[in-house]
Amino acid sequence: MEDRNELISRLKTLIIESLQLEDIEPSDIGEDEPLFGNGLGLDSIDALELVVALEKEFGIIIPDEEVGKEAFASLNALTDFVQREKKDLS
Amino acid sequence: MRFTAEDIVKVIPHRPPFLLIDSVEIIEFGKGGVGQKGLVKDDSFGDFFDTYLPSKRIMPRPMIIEAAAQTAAFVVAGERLLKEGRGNEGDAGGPAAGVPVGVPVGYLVKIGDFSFSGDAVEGDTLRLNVVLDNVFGALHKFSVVAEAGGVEIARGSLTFSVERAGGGG
Repeated sequence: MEDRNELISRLKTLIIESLQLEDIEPSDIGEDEPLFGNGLGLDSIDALELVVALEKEFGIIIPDEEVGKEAFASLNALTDFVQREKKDLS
Repeated sequence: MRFTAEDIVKVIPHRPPFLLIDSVEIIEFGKGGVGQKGLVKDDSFGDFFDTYLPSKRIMPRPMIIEAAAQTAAFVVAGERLLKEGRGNEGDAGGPAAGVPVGVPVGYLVKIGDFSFSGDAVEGDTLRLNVVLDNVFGALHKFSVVAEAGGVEIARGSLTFSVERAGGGG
């Protein structure tokens, strides 16, 4: 089972690379700050790109906005979501 | 299943000279299809050959993206709108006669990683292969491969925001 800190680091890299956030370093992404709106400043198009990236990287599907709202609330929330979904897949 | 311009104009609001596909082969509605345009001079589209790099006789590359977008719109909305016969609602005369009304409109919100390796030249048949990769809320993301004269000339992705049903447009 992947260590939580490793998964957080992997998710930070995934967010930066899939959204081509050239000016953002992994350390710039706070684990409890919102990914969208006033936090990291992502928008709905970024959300779709992230949905695509998560499916490609982990085989995890975010079926609708409601699930997305919960999963993308923060990096910690996303980490919880991925850990839970990965457990269901395995 | 192949649909002609007669079907296409019942689904999307574009009209000549800005209707850039003259048929769509549907692989599966809601999933993917292939738009086609014969690049001939003897229709209203011929103006582009005369006015855009006339010595090259090519289709402007951004218009290839628009043609792919129109194909994607038909793939997403075609099945339901043709079934409902919504295309007749706008037949009130005037320049917009026959334009579907009261149906959701898709707005292009992102052109992703498009690259061109060739051009569509007068006389070619342009083919737009579009596949729906993901839907998230109102957003629909398609991958696109364009071919002209049987050769790939462009590929990339297009993302649309589609109005909710009943949302006007």
